[in-house]
Amino acid sequence: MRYKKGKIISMIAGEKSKVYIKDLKRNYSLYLMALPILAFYILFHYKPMYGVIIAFKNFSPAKGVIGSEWVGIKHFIDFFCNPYFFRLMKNTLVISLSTLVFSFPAPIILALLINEIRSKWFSRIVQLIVYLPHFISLVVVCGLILKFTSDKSIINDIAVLFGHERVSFLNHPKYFVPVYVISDIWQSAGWNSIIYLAALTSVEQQLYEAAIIDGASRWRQTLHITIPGIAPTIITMFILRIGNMLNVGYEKIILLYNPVTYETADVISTYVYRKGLIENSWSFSTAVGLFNSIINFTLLIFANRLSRKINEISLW
Amino acid sequence: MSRNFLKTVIFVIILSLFVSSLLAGCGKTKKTISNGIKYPSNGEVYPMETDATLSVWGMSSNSSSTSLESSPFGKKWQELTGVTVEFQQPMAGTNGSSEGLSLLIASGDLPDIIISNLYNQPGGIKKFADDGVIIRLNEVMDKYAPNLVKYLNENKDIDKMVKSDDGSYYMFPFIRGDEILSVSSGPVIRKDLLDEGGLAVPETIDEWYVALKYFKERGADAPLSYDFASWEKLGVFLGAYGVKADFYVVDGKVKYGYLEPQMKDALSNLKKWYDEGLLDKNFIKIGDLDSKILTSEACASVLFAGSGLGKYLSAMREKDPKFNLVPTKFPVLNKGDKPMFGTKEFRYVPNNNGFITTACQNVELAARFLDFGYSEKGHMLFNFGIEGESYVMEDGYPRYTELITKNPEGLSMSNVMVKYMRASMSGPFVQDKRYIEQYYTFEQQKDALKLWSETDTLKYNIPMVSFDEEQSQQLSSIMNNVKTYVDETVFKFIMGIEPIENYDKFVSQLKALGIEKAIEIYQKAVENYQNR
Repeated sequence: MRYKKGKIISMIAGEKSKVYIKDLKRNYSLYLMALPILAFYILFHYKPMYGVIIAFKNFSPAKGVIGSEWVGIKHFIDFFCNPYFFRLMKNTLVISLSTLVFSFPAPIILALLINEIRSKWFSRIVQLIVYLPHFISLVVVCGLILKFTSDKSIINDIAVLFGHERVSFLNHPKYFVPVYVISDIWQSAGWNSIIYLAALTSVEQQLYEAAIIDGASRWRQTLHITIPGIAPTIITMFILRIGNMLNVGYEKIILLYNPVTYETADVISTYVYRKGLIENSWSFSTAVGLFNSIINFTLLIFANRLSRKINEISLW
Repeated sequence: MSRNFLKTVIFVIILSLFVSSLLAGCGKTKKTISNGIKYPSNGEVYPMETDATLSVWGMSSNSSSTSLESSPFGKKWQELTGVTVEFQQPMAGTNGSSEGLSLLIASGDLPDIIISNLYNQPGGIKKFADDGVIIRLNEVMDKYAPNLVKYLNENKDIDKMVKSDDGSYYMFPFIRGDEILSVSSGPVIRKDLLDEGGLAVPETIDEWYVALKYFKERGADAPLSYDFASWEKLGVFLGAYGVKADFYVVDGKVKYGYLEPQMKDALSNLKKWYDEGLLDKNFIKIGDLDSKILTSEACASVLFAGSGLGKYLSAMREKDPKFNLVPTKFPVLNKGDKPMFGTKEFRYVPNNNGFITTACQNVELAARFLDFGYSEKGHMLFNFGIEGESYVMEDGYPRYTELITKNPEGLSMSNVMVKYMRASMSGPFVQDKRYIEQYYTFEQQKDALKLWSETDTLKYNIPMVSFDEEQSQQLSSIMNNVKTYVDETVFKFIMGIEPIENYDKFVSQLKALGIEKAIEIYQKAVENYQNR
């Protein structure tokens, strides 16, 4: 009896592994295709992670990662005790939240609007026009922004018509965030709306028909069918977005800011960039980057759990 | 059958892609070990006979249309020294930047020789020595670099700048052979427009005010257009008040410009100019300076004699023969005063200095190679190029040929010079003043050399000091915060966003950021320098 039981267990185990082996044999080409990607991630993303220890050392390229001496949390303390720490944190959060509040809904609204267009060819033209800014390089876009916000620009000409004074927008701290956010919406709303447009097509037509029979207006339909229909997509994108809260990229800000707007434009990443240029401080920037990643990761887990509790929709 | 065949083909392709992606990181250059050097039998040192090769990193030109390897200069350099050189070029524009150097060191594959600016790197030259990147040259120089040693012995003032506080030598320096070569930039103004208004070339701040006001009334939108941040570190218009936007030394005491009371007056003056529209509204980030000057939108600026003054004068020569951009003396407060600060540099320049690395297997060869620049033949090669091609001797004076001065392919003088010599740039040699006598063809440029030299700045500039690692880190940490604060606030003062009455608050905030500690560090370094 025991013999039989053992045989059955080993048979089942054997069955399981047999299934795996069968799968491997049949789809070996798929696994082989996935192998380089896997190797890529392991080699270039996971293996270099050990380098994060330079955040706790005084790294010098000549001494290498192992040879550099330990300094513990000195860089973290330097960062938190920096006289500009609060300003940098505040600016980073302000820019990040503003982008979240204004730039996140924009593609959704755009997708809903495009969805309402009756004529197919007009819809296509609109989509084309709206996708294009995404492809323009950031440097060119910032060049355009600098020109359009200068005091001789057409925007100022229009402002004068309405009785306002000429203002060089990027020379005033209070205008920096609006310029940043508006240009961000202009550049990314179109491209980001693609995923929402795709989600819109998956909403069942029958629901609309039922609603029309019940006498729902266009607006009501949008509110009660469309939006709940694409809610999973919205929430997924939102969670992913939260995971990037502290990562306000320095490239765009560096191209647009100047010392007069440091007050609102200087964020953690731009400060570290300047520090890096003057001091060659690899360890310091790694420490700050580590700090950013830990916060982002915590926010991500938190947002995910919250979403799961409320909507039962989550990434994992 | 064909389906299976297709599968096999795909399998092989994917496998080979995978394998090749693994190998993507490989591929190293080989280094040959030395084989001994044979010197020519007539007692000379060059050309040497050897099988060994040297790898040289750096020494790139800015107009990188010619790589060192294929240029006539590079080839002649190897021919005259007798050494085969593998020239490694850093990424365009990164030579002298810490990025290029950090990448080189982090790669672990050091060349034999690095020709670059290590002085201005964080930590200075000492850090590279302590980190085991470059070697100390004292014994090497005594044995294998007689030309450089001879020059340093004959020029004790240069020798003081080149060696470190403890008497160590680390580099083959770039030296300006004559004081006249030490200045290359300064203020310029449109004399033709001044003549129309019956005004003389301004010398005092008040005269500048009158001239700029005249330009404004004439219709210039930005009469004075210059990059405040970079030029005021040298004290162009601030210097008239006896201060500049950096550290300097007065009677042995180190001072920081912004802490001095005269700075408030200097900034108030600039604020007045800004308010009246005499200073370019975009002085924080000047764009299109070229078009502003050529269209007379800007009538005064601070320029380099070669790439600025020369460029505009030759561009307008045909279009508007009356266009006359002339250099002026650095402005002062009272007529007849000598300007305290200016753009004059020390005769030792840290750019493109030669260093021998710890990875070099044949130090004798490397030292001989780098010493060549200071020898007779090397001096002529670096300054004038190839005899018969780029220069000819006329009564003992090396005259550039038409290949350089009126290049048949239409190349500008600076572009073609870079192919044959290094006089217009920098490197391990002594610059000869006979180059500049021929490079500056316009009268205005020659005047510029004289006018811009008339300052006391070498007395007041911080000398070529060096810091140890801890001081260096502390200093850069403090200065990073100070620089952020200073840039922000000074611009706001000038633009009127921050009232200049708050200047005292600005000073106390600077002290809170640690500026006095920074001054202390500089003070110590200057004292160490004097004791060399």
